[in-house]
Amino acid sequence: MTEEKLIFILKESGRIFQQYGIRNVSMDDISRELGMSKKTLYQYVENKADLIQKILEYHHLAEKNIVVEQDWKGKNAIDVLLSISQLVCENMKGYKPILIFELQKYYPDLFRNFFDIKKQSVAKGLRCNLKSGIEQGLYRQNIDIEVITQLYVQNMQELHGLEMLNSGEVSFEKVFQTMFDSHIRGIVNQQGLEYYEKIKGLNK
Amino acid sequence: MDEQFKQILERTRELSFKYPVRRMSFDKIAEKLEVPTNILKGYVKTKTELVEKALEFERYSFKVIFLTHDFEGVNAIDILFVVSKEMSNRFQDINPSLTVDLRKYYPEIYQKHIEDKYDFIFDKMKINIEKGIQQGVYRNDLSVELVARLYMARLMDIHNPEYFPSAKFSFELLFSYTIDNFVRSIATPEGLEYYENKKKSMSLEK
Repeated sequence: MTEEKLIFILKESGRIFQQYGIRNVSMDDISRELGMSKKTLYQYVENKADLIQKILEYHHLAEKNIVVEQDWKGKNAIDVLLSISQLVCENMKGYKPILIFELQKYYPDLFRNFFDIKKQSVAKGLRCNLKSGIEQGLYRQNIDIEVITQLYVQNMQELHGLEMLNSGEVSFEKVFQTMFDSHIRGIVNQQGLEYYEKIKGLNK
Repeated sequence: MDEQFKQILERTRELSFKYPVRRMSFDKIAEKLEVPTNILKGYVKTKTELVEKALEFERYSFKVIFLTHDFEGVNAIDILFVVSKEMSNRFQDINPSLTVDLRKYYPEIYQKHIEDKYDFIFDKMKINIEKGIQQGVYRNDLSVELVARLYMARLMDIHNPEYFPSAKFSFELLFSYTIDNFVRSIATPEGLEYYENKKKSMSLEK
């Protein structure tokens, strides 16, 4: 048993679930696609639910690492937010609402747990960013950090239930960008807004 | 809906803020409302029907805000201020535990109530966005549908006691942030200036 092998299993299984859905794919399918015996597969995971849990944990860790590994030197609070939003969008390519639907329906506890942990992570980052932005004179002084953090974080949950996303009318990227843009505009002062619009223009 | 019934429903509303109505019998409710039971029975046969009509009246009271104001030619941002104030006046006393009770004991009636309210507000918000775009106070590069949906998602969130326990967050504060975020996220520079000046002058008035 090696960590490398586990990561391989989790990454590939995740890809398979993403492509074919969760319900439709059995552990037989997984072991076959991975080119390993079921015996080997079960050395790493107890069952399908355990596999899914580990994939979610890995996904969460990977997201966190993306943020931690960035070089934030010389970047202000708005730069940081923009960079993270780009990374999130990149990471979410291949997101399919049907996956969330299946997770919520067939593995509700797993999903709830995963999402709670995700919300806490995001909340932590947001609070930090709000404090920095206020200190740097880019965000308004009198904003309530906790209210803004909670409004954003709880909205993340609603986001997944958004009809327009689920019907394919609008892409995740568009929804996320709109939410994100609205978050920034909700907190910046005049100086921050000018800066944000300037670098947004440059990034196009 | 005749005047007497409206008054009964208004009093039912006030009653529900003070007492756990779910524990009261029909007769007891009539007693508290100071209405003879037979008169009340003339309007509603059961307690469930009373709840249903009370919620209908609640939605009507909200819609009335838009009927009593002529918003023709009014600045979209001003409309938001007016409606927010009216809502504050009327709905600030609502006891959050009432919502919990309604959800638990009258789930279907409550669900219909929420859906109707949602549809109404959603339509009004879309109108507000379109108006603001025409007036040049909101940007014209946005998806009206998406912005309205995101606003509604947030509005639903702040009504959810699991996300925002009333002991920790005041509804008024959450709502003011929701509207504030809405305007800031879509305003043009002119709209934003207008909004900030208006906010400033309103807080000076207090």
